[in-house]
Amino acid sequence: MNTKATGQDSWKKIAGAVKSILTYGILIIGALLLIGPFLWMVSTSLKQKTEVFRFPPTLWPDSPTLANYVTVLTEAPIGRYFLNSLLIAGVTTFVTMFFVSLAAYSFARLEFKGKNFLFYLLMASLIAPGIATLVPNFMIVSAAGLLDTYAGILLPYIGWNIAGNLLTMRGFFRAIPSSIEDAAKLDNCSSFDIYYKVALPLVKNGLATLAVFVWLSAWDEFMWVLTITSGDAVRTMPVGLYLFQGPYITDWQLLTAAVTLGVLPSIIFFLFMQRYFVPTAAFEAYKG
Amino acid sequence: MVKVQRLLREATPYLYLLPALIFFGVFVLFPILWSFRLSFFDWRVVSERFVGLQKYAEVLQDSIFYVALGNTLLYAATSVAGQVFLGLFFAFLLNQNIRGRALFRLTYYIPVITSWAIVTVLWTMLLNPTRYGIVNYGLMSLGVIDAPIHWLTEAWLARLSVILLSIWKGVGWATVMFLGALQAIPQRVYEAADLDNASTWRKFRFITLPLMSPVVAIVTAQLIVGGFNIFPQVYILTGGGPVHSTESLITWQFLNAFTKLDFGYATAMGFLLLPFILAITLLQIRLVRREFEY
Repeated sequence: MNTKATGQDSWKKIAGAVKSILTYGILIIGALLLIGPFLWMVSTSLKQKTEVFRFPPTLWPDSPTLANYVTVLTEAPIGRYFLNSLLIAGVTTFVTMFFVSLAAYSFARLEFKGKNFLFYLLMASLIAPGIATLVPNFMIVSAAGLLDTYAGILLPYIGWNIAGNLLTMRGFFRAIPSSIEDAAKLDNCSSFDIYYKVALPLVKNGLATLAVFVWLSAWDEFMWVLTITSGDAVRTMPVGLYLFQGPYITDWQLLTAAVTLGVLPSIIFFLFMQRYFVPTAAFEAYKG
Repeated sequence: MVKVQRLLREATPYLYLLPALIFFGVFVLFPILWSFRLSFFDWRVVSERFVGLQKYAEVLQDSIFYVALGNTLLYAATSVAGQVFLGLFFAFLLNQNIRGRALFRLTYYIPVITSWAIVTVLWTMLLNPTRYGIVNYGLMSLGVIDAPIHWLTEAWLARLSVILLSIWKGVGWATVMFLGALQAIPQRVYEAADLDNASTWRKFRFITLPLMSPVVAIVTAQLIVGGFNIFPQVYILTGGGPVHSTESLITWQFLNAFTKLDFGYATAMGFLLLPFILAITLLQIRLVRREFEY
């Protein structure tokens, strides 16, 4: 009787151990498959050219070197692409958040004629066939003489980011109790002061979350930059790396160094802004 | 003076809207209307000619359009199914008493936040057709294949590559969404079920499943939208080739718009697809609404 119970207990223990080994095993394999490519990328970027095509491949370089990074930054325009990306993503995010928050505040907290009409117009645009509108965008930017300029890239970015973010941010502002605003009005605050000093700080977490996604989508964008740039001056990382790939297709140590420089900012940004990465429906704009 | 003040006050809401509306008007609203007009024209760089529905007919008679449509449906269906299934699987594993859960979550999310085009460039190296390609090397070491596979130059393998890349890039997002939903289910609900001696299956069937299904539906709908917009994966990995066999709707549209400069064709194609997009979007809106009612 007693031994039977112990026997059952030890069976349970073994089953539990097997289960947890399996669980961790699967989770670790999953993790390796997902970040393995990045580990290979970093390792290869630190190799000498002669080591890249050694077979079987070495897990870690014999004598790690940063020379590849120096090469892509000095002999190729990767540094240029990098700074362009930072500038375009930064300006797009800042201007978009400012304009969208102003408009969302107006929709959420102020009364005006034509409000519903304008709101539904903005929402309806969200189902527009994305790339079809790229053609007129191209014509507009071209007619304005903005091909191959920063403005030509980021002005449309701002425009495309308006409607979706406006919908979400309007929700943030609507959640503020009106008593807070009323108190500010009694204190004779101007309307802009109420927006800027009262309402905006109250929604700053939501604002940060949206800003993270706008930044990422601008850092990610490929098609538009591909369409309107013809030189290296304003090109961003995604298009730059795509074109860099051509002539350097067999120089994996250089290509991986360049790719690492393109991936790193997103990862660093993610680690720092992690608490704002609330994976919600707001993510949809970026999911393309 | 009072009048000016009043006018100013009444104008305020519009002033706040103005910058956003100008950008929206110039880069979204006007382009939508203009692209609709363009779809009825045979557009040449120096001239344009009204051709009625001819461009729509051209699209519908174009065999590559159907290849692209079929591929897009295939990419969307398989990559969405893969992401949802694996996402649920990992989320259930992570929802147990796991040490290092935060670290796993973080790791799984890294492909999600990186740039599509940039990681696709990385994948062209991973999928290199020689034994130096790390995917080939891995499969050969495991004994799955004997000789290196030409991933990107053979139609079905190239399609498979696009699908695998899409799943790899997005599965972390599905996992994190599902894990969040699982952890939002209050523990006391399960405890109450335990008091009733409910089996693990019944707990899953009557607690977990109904509470999870709205989230699964929303994630699925969102992934479908993403699946229809497949672009850099195909453009960079295969260039739509070999001979257009891996083309997606967006790559085909892009090629017509900006390589062939057939603006009429590209815009007509966009409007032909509008019913699809409309259906998915309406579905999505309904799903999100329903979730708010919980």
